[in-house]
Amino acid sequence: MRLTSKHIFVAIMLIGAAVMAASASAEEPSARDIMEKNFYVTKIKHMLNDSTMTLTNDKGQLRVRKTRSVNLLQPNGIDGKIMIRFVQPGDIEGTGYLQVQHYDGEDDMWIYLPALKKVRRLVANNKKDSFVGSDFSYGDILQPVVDTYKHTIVKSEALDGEDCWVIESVPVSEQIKKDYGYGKKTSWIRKSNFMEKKIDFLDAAGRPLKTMVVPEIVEVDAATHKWWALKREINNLQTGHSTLLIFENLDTKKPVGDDFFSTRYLEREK
Amino acid sequence: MTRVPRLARRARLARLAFPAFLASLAVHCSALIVVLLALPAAAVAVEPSALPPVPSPSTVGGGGGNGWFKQLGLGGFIRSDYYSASKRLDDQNSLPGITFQPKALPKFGSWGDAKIEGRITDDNLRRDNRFQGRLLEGYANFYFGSVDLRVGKQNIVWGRADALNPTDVLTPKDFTLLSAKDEEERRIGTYSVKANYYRGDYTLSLMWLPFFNPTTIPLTSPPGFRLIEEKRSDGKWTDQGFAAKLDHTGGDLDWSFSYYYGLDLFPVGIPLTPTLTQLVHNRIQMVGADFAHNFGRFGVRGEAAYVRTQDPDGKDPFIKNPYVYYVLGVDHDLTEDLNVNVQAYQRIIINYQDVFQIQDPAARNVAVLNVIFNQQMDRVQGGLTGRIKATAWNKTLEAELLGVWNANRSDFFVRPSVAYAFTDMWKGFVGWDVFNGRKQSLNGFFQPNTAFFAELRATF
Repeated sequence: MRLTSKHIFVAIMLIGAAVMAASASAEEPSARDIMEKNFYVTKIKHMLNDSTMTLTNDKGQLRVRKTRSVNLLQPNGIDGKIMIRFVQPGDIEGTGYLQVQHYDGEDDMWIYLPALKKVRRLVANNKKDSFVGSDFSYGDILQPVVDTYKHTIVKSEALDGEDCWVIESVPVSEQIKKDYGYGKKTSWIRKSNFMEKKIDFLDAAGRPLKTMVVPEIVEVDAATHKWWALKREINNLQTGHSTLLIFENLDTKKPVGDDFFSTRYLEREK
Repeated sequence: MTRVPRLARRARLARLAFPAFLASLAVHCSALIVVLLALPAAAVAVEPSALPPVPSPSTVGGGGGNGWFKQLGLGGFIRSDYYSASKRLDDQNSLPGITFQPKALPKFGSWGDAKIEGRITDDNLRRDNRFQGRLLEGYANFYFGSVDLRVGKQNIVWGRADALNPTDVLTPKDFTLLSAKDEEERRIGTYSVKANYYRGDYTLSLMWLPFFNPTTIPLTSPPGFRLIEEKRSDGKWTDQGFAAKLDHTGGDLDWSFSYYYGLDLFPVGIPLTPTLTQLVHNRIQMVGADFAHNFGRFGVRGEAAYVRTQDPDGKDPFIKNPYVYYVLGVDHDLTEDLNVNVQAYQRIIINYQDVFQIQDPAARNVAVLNVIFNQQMDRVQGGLTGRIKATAWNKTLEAELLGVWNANRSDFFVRPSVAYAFTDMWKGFVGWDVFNGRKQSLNGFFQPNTAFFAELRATF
């Protein structure tokens, strides 16, 4: 085949287009890519932590829940196992909660109530249900996989001095909207590390429902670029109730065995 | 049927059964000793690196302050309550009470910990000097590799069904307790050595109960009559209990098989004279099983037991008959704040005899009480239980309607109640226990225990 000027022109155009596309993608990842990185950035192999959850009602009355948790990421890199021990208030002290996640099905959950001395299998929750009376839903605590929502980049903007992508996420089906209770989420994702900084939630009818802010984060594993929120505050705009969740004593070094997530440890009250 | 030949027959039966019983006991003891000796060896054999660690962050929620208080694991509650009637069938009404229930959970290290919990209560402050103290639990845990050992007074709770548990035959309860959370708090502990061997989702438990501790039943002898109870807690081999359980918790199906050989927690009455009845605890054997599985958003639980007694032929009205007892139930969240639980049960009495046909009135009265307390009034008994629980205001307000309906005699128990957490420390309860039915039925017999109650509780 003889090389003509026409062929050379087309080749130059194609190479140019490819280079432009590559440089564009390096500058601006897609909304899905951003949310996927946001999903995995907190998938830590294993971690121990203490947390304090302060619930405030519209009259300013406070309730405090203190827990001690152990997390273990399952081999699929998506699902986790979590053991939570309640240490405060007194009437639920010693209560243990074990959850084994299945992103493609219902989670397995057990609770141990010290007063009853029984491990009880729980019925799977609706993802929109409140997590232990707080303003976090189970779907907020255990983030759904990326393709549960369709994501769109709205803009980039600085929030409290940090560059963020602003991404709108809408449920991919009516069933997901019903399950999670959100008609739309708008997330401010930090460009520096893909951790969220703020999320606005609309309810299934499109009304403002909750706002969550994540003011403090920490890199818990520099080698794998894993981060964790030290503080999350969520305000329910419809009820005036709010929840502040603070994590302390994070430990990602101490090994956590798979056997830990069993009734043996669930039944230990301390 | 007259009393003297009957007692003579019982004594003869006991003599005949004794050598067989001793042989059986020897087998049980040998098996238990072999397994208890084998467990630590199995534990040592486990590769240490394969053992899960016991994560224990040094402080909780930032720690600070009250360090020794937390180190000892001190806690408990104090409650003040009012009941419009007692649960002793003693015609006492309008009872203001106070209860202090402290506990300590000291931790020794990664190898063990302990728990001590007691109750000091006066359920009727209008009467003097009625404070009673009771050790509810007092045990130490020792952790060896794959084996945990618990020694001391403890609550051993069996069964995955809710509230009705055919296999729950190890730990006594105090059915006279006045408490808004009586289902949780009426257990009074049993002295036991319990060894658990863990492997994956499986747990093998072996228990030895050297001292018998019976259930307290809601009964007070009427004027002119006397009740004496043979509690058999002097530690003789013949009064000891042995139990084993294999449990699987994990995956999508939880299940267990269990076995108990020991004394019955519930007594039966034997009329010694027309005005004197002795409560005795006979030996039973229980073989049971249970399961729990979720079908989508429906939790299904089942539990069944076969109990063999010392009267397999059912000829002695003063010994409980053998029976089969099973429960099947479903649990479902109708909404985020509304849970419904429904269970059906059936109890089949083997070699049933109608005690209402006994000619001797004194013997008949005692025999009728026996079948009421042991729920053996009819050959086949069935019924339903239900619980509707609603929560509001971020789960600070709880309303519950609990009911049990026995189909044979149409008697029922209903408890509507409301609980509100004023703060994390203070919680209030109001409710109404309603027992109703024909006199010759379980809940009809307990009709005088119908009571309104209110309680204020501070947990620390």
